[in-house]
Amino acid sequence: MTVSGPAALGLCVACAVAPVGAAEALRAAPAEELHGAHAQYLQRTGTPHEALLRYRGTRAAGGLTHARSLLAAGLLEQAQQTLQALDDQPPATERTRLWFELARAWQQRGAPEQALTALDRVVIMIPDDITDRLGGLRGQLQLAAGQSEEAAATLRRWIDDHDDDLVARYNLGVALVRAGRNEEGAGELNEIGRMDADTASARALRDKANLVLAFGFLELGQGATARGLFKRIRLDGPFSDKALLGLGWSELAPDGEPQDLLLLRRIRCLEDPARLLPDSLPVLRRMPRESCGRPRMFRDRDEFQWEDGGETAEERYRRALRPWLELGGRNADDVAVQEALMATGHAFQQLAASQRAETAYAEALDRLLPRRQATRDLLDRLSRSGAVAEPRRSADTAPEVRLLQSLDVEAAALPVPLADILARQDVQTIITDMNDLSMNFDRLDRWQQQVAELEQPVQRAVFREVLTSDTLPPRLAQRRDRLRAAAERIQTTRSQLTATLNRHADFLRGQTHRILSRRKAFLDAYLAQIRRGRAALFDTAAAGASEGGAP
Amino acid sequence: MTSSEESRKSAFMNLPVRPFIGVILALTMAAATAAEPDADSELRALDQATQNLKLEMLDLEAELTDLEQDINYPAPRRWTVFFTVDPAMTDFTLDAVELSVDGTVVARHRYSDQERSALSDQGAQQLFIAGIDPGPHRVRVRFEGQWDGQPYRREQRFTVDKPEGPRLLELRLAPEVTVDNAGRNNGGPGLIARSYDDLP
Repeated sequence: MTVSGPAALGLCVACAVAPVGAAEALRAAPAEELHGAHAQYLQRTGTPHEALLRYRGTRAAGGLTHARSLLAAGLLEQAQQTLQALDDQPPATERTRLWFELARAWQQRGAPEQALTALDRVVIMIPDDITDRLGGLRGQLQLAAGQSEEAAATLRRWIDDHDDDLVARYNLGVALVRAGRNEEGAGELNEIGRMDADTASARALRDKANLVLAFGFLELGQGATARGLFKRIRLDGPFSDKALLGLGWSELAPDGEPQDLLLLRRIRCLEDPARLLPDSLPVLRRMPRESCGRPRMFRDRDEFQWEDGGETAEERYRRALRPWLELGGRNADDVAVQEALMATGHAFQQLAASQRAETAYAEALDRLLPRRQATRDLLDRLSRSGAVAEPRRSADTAPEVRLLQSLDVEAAALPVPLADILARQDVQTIITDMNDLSMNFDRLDRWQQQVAELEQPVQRAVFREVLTSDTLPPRLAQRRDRLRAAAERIQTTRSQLTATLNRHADFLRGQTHRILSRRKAFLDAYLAQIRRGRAALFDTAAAGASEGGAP
Repeated sequence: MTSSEESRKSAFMNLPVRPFIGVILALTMAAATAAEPDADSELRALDQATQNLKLEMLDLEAELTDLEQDINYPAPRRWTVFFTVDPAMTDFTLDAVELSVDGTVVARHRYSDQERSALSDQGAQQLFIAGIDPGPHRVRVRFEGQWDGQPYRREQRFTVDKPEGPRLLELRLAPEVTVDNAGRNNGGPGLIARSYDDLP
């Protein structure tokens, strides 16, 4: 094909001079390059899926724009392979951004190890907006991947320059505790627990830090410290149920040792003279230099207040009852409320308030037995139920709807708060995947229709050929065969799609089953304790009646 | 042991099983992001299955797109027109393009900022695809926009000789070099047409 011109008729409104020599600006653009540039155009005009279809066999395949399309389509492994192949090529900034986005995508997929691998490539020409998030993300990923020491080191460095990153500071506390550096971790968490918070998320983070600390001290038998920490937590926040429960238990727990004594002991350890001597003195290397553990940074340990509890057992139970009675009035789907219902009866019993203990136990039974039955019923149902006949097709189905449909239950029949299940990262990942996959049913329907429409002209052509010739032209035969193969692939893919979605639903059922089994174990323990308590009440009453001369 | 200490101890000893450990465990689990080992491996297997299915869908769609093109625009007659912009074309803002073939307007397009940006970034817009007979064809392109802040409209005509087989026409907007008597370049935006063999 030839093109005559450049302009057989040129009409230039804005300029009067006829164009000459424009051909010099030309580049050689073979077909692969133009098709690749078309794919890039589609990617950049907001149709990455269309772009992906056009990259095949083009020169742009394997380029950065292609990698971005793969990332947008959720094909993370393919995006990663494409980026790896480009690692030595410019432009570095765009590639670095894509590695960072890939790391975030892996993180959202619940794969912190892969996310860290991707993040390791974010090393040169890092855009400012990424620099501002890099250390916090790396620490978070290391923490999620179980690399607690590394996470602590990363977050410590990060916080030195980003003291206002509250999540990173909280994560540092958690990383230190998980790495066995409890004192340092407690210090960091305590800083978060005492901070001024002016947003809802900051207040929730502050409550969470205090809750973790408080239960930690309770576990250590440091009830007097735990009490003060539980009381820092807001009564209307997301952690108030657990805080009220823990506060009650902390009233009954041993007070433990005042924190200033612990601190003093540690300081003594830190002042071990061997630590102050240089490594170059060989004789001292044999000294137990690590006997006190690694050097530790203490922050605000003196802020852990000792809070006096009751002087007598009776007083302690009375104090424990206050938060538990408050908690008992709340929704008994929460495990903390269930435990408080049991503990309330026990506390009254210990206070020899038999009538009130009996009333509390009876109320606990009234509220817990139906929940255990509902839990059993749902467990049975989940064990028996199979695939959902018709998975929802909509890509924007709300997570709770998707979950309930997978479980095949109504929200009212679920004996645990939906949020408890939906909060899990793996459940979120699965639901996102289900939404992504579900929209493919409509696409398969469209393609089936498309194949049917394409078959008509091909069949007419085949019919015409059959009338006039013994053999079909190869191109026509090839088209007919490709259409048949495509129709079969659509059916196969539809079956695979249904099977995969059912596997996803199975996973949701399995996770819900695990959660419910744990809840049932707790309920069984609470109900057994209530029965023992009631039996003891009856025994006491019977003994009293007997002593009083009953027949 | 003082009486106070005794009462504290007895209070503690009288506690039922310490079920709050369950709450602590639940807290710890809530802090951890990883699933249980079995669930974790199942999650990974599902993730792999999802990725494979997405790839299969993509492959199938690409095959259907290719098949549709092969049937609707068979290779011997297929003719695709792409519109591109030379990176040197910095002082022209493209607003619209109209393409006519053999006297019939076959494509009109008005550009958004995003599309202009994609074109300046080496993207190629597929303006038209059709099956046309081999032989000479008259192509007329009108485009308009802003050149150095002034309205600019232009029409260019080409004659394209299409042979048997799939062909591409690239219409490339580039600055023309026109030198006036004072030696200054007054060249405005112009189109360059280039034809290539298309992929089979």
